[in-house]
Amino acid sequence: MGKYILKRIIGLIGLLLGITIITFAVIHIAPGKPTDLEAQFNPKVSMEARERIAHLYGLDKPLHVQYIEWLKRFARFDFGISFMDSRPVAQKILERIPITLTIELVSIILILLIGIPIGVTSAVKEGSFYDRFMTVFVFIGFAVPTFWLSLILMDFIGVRWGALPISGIKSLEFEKFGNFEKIIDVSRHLVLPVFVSAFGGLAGISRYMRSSMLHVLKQDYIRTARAKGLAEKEVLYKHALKNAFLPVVTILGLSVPGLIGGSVIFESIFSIPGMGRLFYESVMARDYPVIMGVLVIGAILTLLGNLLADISYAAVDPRIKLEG
Amino acid sequence: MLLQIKNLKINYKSDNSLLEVVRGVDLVINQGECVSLIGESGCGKTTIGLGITKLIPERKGNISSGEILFEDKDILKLNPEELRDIRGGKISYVFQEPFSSLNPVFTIYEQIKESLKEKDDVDNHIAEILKSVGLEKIIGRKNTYPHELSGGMQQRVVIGMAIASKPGLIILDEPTTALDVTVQRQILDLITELKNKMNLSILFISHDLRIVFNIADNINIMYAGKIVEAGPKEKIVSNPSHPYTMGLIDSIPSFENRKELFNAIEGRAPLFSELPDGCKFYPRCKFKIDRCAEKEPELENVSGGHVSRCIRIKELKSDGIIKDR
Amino acid sequence: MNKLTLFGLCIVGFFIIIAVFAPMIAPYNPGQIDIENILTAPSGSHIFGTDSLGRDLFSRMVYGTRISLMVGFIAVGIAAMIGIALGAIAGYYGKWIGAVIMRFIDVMLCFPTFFLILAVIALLEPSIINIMIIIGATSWMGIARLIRAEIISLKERDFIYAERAIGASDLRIIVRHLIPNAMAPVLVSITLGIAGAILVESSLSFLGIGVQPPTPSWGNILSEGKAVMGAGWWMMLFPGLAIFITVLGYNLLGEGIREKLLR
Repeated sequence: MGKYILKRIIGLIGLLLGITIITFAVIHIAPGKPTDLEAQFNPKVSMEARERIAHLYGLDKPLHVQYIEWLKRFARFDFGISFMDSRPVAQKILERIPITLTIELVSIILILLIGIPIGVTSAVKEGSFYDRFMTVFVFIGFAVPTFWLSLILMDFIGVRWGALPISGIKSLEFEKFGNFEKIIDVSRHLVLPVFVSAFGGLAGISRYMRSSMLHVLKQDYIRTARAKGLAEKEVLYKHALKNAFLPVVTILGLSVPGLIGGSVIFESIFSIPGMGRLFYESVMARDYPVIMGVLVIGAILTLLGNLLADISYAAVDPRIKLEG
Repeated sequence: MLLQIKNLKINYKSDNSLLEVVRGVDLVINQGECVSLIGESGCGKTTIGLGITKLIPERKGNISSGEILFEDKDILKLNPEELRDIRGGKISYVFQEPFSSLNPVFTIYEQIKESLKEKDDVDNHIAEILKSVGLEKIIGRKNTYPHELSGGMQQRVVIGMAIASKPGLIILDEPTTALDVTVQRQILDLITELKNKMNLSILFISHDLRIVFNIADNINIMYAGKIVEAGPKEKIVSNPSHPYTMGLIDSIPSFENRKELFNAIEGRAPLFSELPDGCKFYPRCKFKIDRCAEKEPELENVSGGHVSRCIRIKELKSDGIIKDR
Repeated sequence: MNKLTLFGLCIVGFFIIIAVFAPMIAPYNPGQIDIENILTAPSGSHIFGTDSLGRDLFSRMVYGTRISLMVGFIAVGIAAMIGIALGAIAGYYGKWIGAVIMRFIDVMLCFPTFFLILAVIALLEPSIINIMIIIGATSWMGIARLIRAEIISLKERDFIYAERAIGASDLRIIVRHLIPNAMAPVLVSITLGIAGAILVESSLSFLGIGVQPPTPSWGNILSEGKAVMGAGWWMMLFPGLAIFITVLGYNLLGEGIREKLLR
């Protein structure tokens, strides 16, 4: 098992390199120099001043040199300085990660807690009214645009009903709250974003779980289990479930980038100070260092998610253990 | 009589219609007997095997009529709990593909344990079972998974699971078909040994007469959902009394007479959706006459305990067209 | 055919017809401003109401259908071209070119796609062409993997050996024989991909970096809906509903094709 993890981590290095190359390439697709934006705001900035700034950021050197230098700094976790407010990019990102991660984690837990049972029971009751109802429900979940859902929830639950806050993660009176009340306050603020974030993923996982379970139920060893006289519950929830769950673990890992990408929308709508919103703001402001930083961090988080999924899979499936 | 099947009829669901694939089968298995059920794939023999303990999934098919008397109780009338007691307890199964019969994510030990009736002193019981199926090597290796074993070893495990509860009847459905030829021999020997040691009754389902020849006491030949010939092994082999049986025996390639071409039976088994009237073997039969196609024959006595569904067999034999072997 | 799949097909067909016949269906000019009728609720003369410049929402939505469908089809078309090409090369030639392509796919899959798209769109200008290209350029990976897998299993089949034996060139084998036979699962991806592309385009337009006003897109109309939340429920309801139904239609169709293929 340890060898397996080691091998995977080594493979990651290649991926990391690729990630940095793509990120670098993406930034330089844009015509013009990154400093143009700064200069745009101040027409009085002279040619020499622009050249000085360009030199400061190393923008006058050839591309591959720029890349190597950027990469070197990146390896030291020096992501540069934000154009917008001159704070270190790493710090800005670090501030935002916990919030986004919290929302993602709670989403994933929700998805698992709700999606898996729905998928399993739909498979067990294949063809029944319950199954068909769930199928329709799931398709609707797939198709609803996150931003629309956010708006509707915001309008009805937030504005008209006023049951939940719709903006930020803390109320104005936050500082006056006791510790317990603080937790409740943050939780109330996170209900809608988490719900929106989990909604689509729920559909996916339950669908996948269902088809995986159906596939397993057709296998011979399930027939053997029944022939042994095991109770139906044991057949389903001991023999079938463990096998059906395996591929779902991988899918979970693969859904991480989707969750992170989706954070842009609901964080913007609900004004959550997370990574997604940071990214959006930096993109609008052409804040290249932050853009690059978030792209790379986002990709790394995805990598970690996949690695975790792979390790969990290997831990659960005895057939993998031997491949080291 | 340990098991008596009376006029069993089973339907299969196929594309919105119901096809009768077991069309009235009678079978008797006595204590300590090995009864074999021989037929081509698709003739309904596996269905009968599964049907005995109602293992056919609802969405695939259903038992429409008949009785299955096991220890004098009709299995078809048992409630789910009683049924589960019988399954794996008094009647156990060995299927064709050993690898897919075993759950890949559980250890051998765990799976054998599930078959045990006694829940105490588990390790010793499992060790005993492993010994009796020739798997001494695995004793003590609790973390062994199915994929770590060869096909032959896996099938031994499955057999071990089947005998774990000291059943009265074991149903084997093509237990050696998926194995290498050399391993087939070993497994068959193992089955014979266990049968004698434990006085087991066996229902051996196969498509191959040669495999069951040594171990079976009785042979039942099945075609298109019904038994067409049945009787003690010696009589069937020396005096086959149905054109289909004769075709089966003739089609066995002879090792000595290698110059002979294969004598395959002409034609194919009929689809259950297109069964002809009258004798179902009619289209492929060498001895057919018009009368054969009128009405499906009943099983007639050929000699003591030996029955056949061919209306012409007596006349063909007395005319000398068919000779004893 | 499954009822749900049929339903999906109807939805898809419905919107295609609307897009094609937009000028004949829309009662008003989508750009026609009418200051006297700002933000009016749905009524006889404006069945979906009007927006904050008095423009007829229904007409704008009808023309928005064109944008959404066009972006969906072309973006997925681009993704399919890239994916099929790279997947076929990786599958057919294998060895190091295959490995390089697969690693490239792995890297691309590491990025939250939406992040990439956002970054590139904002850095270039948000024209419809750019949107189509960038969506296409970030969603080809799944198709590439599918094609590669199919081709790997197909290329060892006898009919391919036969073609080689008569001297067919690699290109001919790939294009005329392998790819057509490998297309089946890709069809599912393409259908579902159209739904995805429409979602992305509307998300981008909603955020303001997609289709730019005054060109109507369901996404940017919804964005307006957000701005007037409370004062114009029709601005939030109809565009969202349209996106939802269209995406649902393509999803149902795609899943239906998948079920058909599994048999």
